[in-house]
Amino acid sequence: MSAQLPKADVVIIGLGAAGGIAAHVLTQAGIDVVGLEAGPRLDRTDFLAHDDEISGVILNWTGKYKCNKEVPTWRPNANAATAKPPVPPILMGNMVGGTSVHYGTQSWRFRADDFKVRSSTVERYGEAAIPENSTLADWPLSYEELEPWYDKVEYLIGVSGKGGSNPFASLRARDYPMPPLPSFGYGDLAQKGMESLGYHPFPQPAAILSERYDDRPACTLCGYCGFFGCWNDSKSSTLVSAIRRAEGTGKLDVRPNCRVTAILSNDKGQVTGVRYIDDQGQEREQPAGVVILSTYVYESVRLLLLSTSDHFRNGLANNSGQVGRNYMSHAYVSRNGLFPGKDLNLYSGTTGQAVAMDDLNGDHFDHTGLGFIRGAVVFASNGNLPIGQSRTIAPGVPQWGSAYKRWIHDNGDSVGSVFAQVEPLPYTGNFLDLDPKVKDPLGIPVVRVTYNFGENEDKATTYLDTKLAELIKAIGATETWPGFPARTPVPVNSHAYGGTRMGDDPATSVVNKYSLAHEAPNLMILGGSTFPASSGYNPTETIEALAWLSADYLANHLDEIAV
Amino acid sequence: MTDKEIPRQAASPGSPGAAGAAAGAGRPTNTSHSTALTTDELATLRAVVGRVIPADDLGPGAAEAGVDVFIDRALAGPNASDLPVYQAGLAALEKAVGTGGFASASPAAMDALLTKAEAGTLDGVPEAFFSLLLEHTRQGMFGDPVYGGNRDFVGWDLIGYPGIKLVWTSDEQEINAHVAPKHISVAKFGGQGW
Ligand SMILES: Cc1cc2nc3c(=O)[nH]c(=O)nc-3n(C[C@H](O)[C@H](O)[C@H](O)COP(=O)(O)OP(=O)(O)OC[C@H]3O[C@@H](n4cnc5c(N)ncnc54)[C@H](O)[C@@H]3O)c2cc1C
Repeated sequence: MSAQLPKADVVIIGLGAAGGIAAHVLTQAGIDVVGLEAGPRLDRTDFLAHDDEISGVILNWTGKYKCNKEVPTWRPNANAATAKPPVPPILMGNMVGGTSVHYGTQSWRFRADDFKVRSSTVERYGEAAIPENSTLADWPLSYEELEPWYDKVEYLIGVSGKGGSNPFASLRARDYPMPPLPSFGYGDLAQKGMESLGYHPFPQPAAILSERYDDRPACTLCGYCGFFGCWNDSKSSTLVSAIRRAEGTGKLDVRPNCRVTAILSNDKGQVTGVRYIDDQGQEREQPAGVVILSTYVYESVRLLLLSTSDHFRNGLANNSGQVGRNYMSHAYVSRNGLFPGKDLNLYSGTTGQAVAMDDLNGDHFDHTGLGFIRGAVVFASNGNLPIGQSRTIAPGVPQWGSAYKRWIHDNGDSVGSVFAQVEPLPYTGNFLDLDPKVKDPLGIPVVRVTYNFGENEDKATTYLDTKLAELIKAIGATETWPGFPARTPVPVNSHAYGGTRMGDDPATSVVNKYSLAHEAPNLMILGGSTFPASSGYNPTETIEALAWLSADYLANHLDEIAV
Repeated sequence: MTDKEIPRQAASPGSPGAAGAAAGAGRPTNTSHSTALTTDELATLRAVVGRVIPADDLGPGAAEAGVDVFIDRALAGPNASDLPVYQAGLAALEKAVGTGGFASASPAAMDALLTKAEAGTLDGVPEAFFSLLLEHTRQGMFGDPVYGGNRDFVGWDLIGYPGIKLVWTSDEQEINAHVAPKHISVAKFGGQGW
C-alpha cells in the first residue's frame, strides 16, 4: 500500500514550460498547489559546470534522470516493425523548469491564420488541397482570444523582440518588454541576402533578456544555450520566472525527484489524485481536487494510456480512442554555405539570436500548383559549437587525414547556415501508443511512435531546400550543401504535437479549449500534445500562453471543476 | 549587457570562480578513470586516431591530443555498448597488418588499411566501426579537455574555437573580428568530465 498524503487543491505533474506557468497563475490566485517533478532542482552553478558540448548536446545530461531512459521507439507505419529512426531522437530535460531550462529561446506567437488552418486552406485552395488522409483541423480558439495571454507570458518571463518588425505577424496589443538581442555579423549578412531576394527579415523574438529585467541580468552571448541551462539566469526559463514567483507566494509545494506513475480516477470518470515514487523510492498517493498533466507529449500520452480503470479500460480519458491520435513532429531542412576567408564568429550567441523571415511560412505565398500546403519559418542564427562544426564539411572534402584537418583549420568558422522549420500535417496513420515490448528500467512500457511524412511534407521540404540553397548563395556563400536534408522526418522530437488534441467535439479530440479533458472534466492537459496543428513556429510561447489561459479559467471555476 | 551586470552575478554564490568550488565540494574529484581497452588495444587505437587526424605542419593530431584516452573512457562509460565494435575493429586492423603491429606500420600502410575499413572491404571490421571511430575522434579532439582529449586545447586551436568565453561582446560577433583563444575548460567551473 502506498502512503496517502493530505489532499491538495491542485496537483501539477511536471514543472516544465507548461506546468511552471500554471503553477504561477494558480498560486497568484491563492490556490495551494503541489508540483511533482521527476527531475531534480538545479541552479546556475550546476549549469555552468556543464557548459560543454559533450554533456549538453551529446549526453543530454539533464535527461539522465528520466527521458534518456525511456526513449520512444519508432516505426514508419502500423504494418512495419520498429526500426532505427532516420535521425536520432531529440530529447527533453528533467528538472524543475523542465526543458524551458535548456531550450534555444526562440519565442514565437502563432499567427491568426494558424488557428484557422483548415478553413483558410479550404477557402483559398478548395477542399482538395488537404490530403485525403489528413486530420488537419482548426483550433477551437482564435489568435484574438489568445493574444492577451501571449502578452502576459512575454512580460512575465521576459521576451526580447521588436513589435511590428515582422510584416506578417498578427496584431499585438503592445510591444515586447525589451528590444531584440544585438545584431551580429553573420546576421547582418543574412539580412542583406534575404532582402536581396525580396524577403522581409526581422530580428527573431527570443525568451532571453537583452537588458536587465525582473532582477535578472542580460544575456552575455556565451554560446551555451540550446541544450544548456543558463549560468547567468538570463534565459527566460520557467525556473527563474514563473516557478520562482510561485514559490515566493508560499503556495507552491515543489517536490523534485518525484515521478508520477499513474493518475487515479473514480467510477464516475473523475480524477482523484496521482500515485508517485518519491525521492526516497517510496510509493505515495497524492489526492487532489484537480490534476494537471504537463509532462510533455510522450509522457502525457503514456501516463494516460497506463492509467486504466474500470471506467477507462483503454486509458484515462480515452473511451473515445483519441489519445495518441493526430501526432505530428516538426520537419526541418537546413543548408550550409561556405564563406571562404571569412571568420564568421558564430561560436557565440544563441539560436535565439537570429535573423528570421516569414515570407515562406504558413500561407504567406501562393501554393497554387506546388502540391503542398503551409511552409516554414526561416532563420539564420548563432550558437555553433566545435564538435558540431567539425562534422559540417563540404561534399568532396575527405572525412579524415591531413586534407580534412587542413579544411577544418581553414573553414571551421567559415561555414554559415540557414534553417527552415516546416509545418507538418496530421494524418490518420501517424499516432502514439505503448510499445508492446520495450520497457524502461522500472518495467513500464515506453511510447511507440508510428510516424512518416506524407507527400505534402516531402514536397514542402524539397521546395524549402531549393529556396534555402538560393538564399544562402544570396547571403554570399560560394558553395552550398544540405545540412539537414529534405524528405527526412524527425519521429521523436522536442517539437512534437498532438496525442491529446484540443477541440470542441469529444469524438475527435481529447480536451476542450480550456485544456480540460472531455471525459474527465477535472483533468487538465497542458503542452504541445493539445495542438491541433503545429504552425511553422517553435511551440513554447504558445504552450505557455495556452497554459496561462487554461489555468486562469481553472482558477476562476475551481469550485465547479474540483472534485 | 552592461559591465555592471556580470560582477553582480559573479559576486553571488553561482559566480564562475565560486561555482568551481561549490560544484567540486562534496564530490570526489575524478582522478582515476575506469578503462575499457587493453594496453595493446589502446596502442592500436592511438595509432589509428593519429591517422584520422594526423600530426602535421598544422600542429598536433588526435594521438597527441589524447583522443585514445577519450575514447577509452567513453567506452568504459556511456558508450559501453560500442566496446565490442572497437575490439573487433582494432583486432581486424592488427590482423591485416601482420607482424610488427599496426602502430609500427608506415603512415601510408596505415592509411591504406583505414581506407579499406572505411569502404567496408577489410575482413572482420564491423560495419559500424569506421563511422563510430570518426565521430568519437571528433568528439575527443574538439570536445572539452575535461573528458581526456583535446589536450592543451589543440583541437580548439585547430578549428578556431576560442574556448569557454562567458562574455562575448557584439563587436566580437562581427565578421573577421579577432577573438583571442581563451583556453578555458569547463573544469574551471566545476565540470567533472565522464
Ligand atoms: C535543445 C532544445 C531546444 C529547444 N529550443 C526551443 C526554442 O528555441 N523555442 C521553443 O519554442 N521551443 C524549443 N524547444 C522545445 C521546448 O523545450 C518545449 O516546447 C517545452 O519545454 C515544452 O514544454 P512542456 O512543459 O510541455 O515540457 P517540459 O518543459 O519538458 O516539461 C515537462 C516536465 O515534466 C517532467 N516529467 C516528465 N514525466 C514526469 C512524471 N512521470 N512525473 C513527474 N514529472 C514528470 C519532466 O521532468 C519535465 O520537467 C527546445 C527543446 C530542446 C530539447
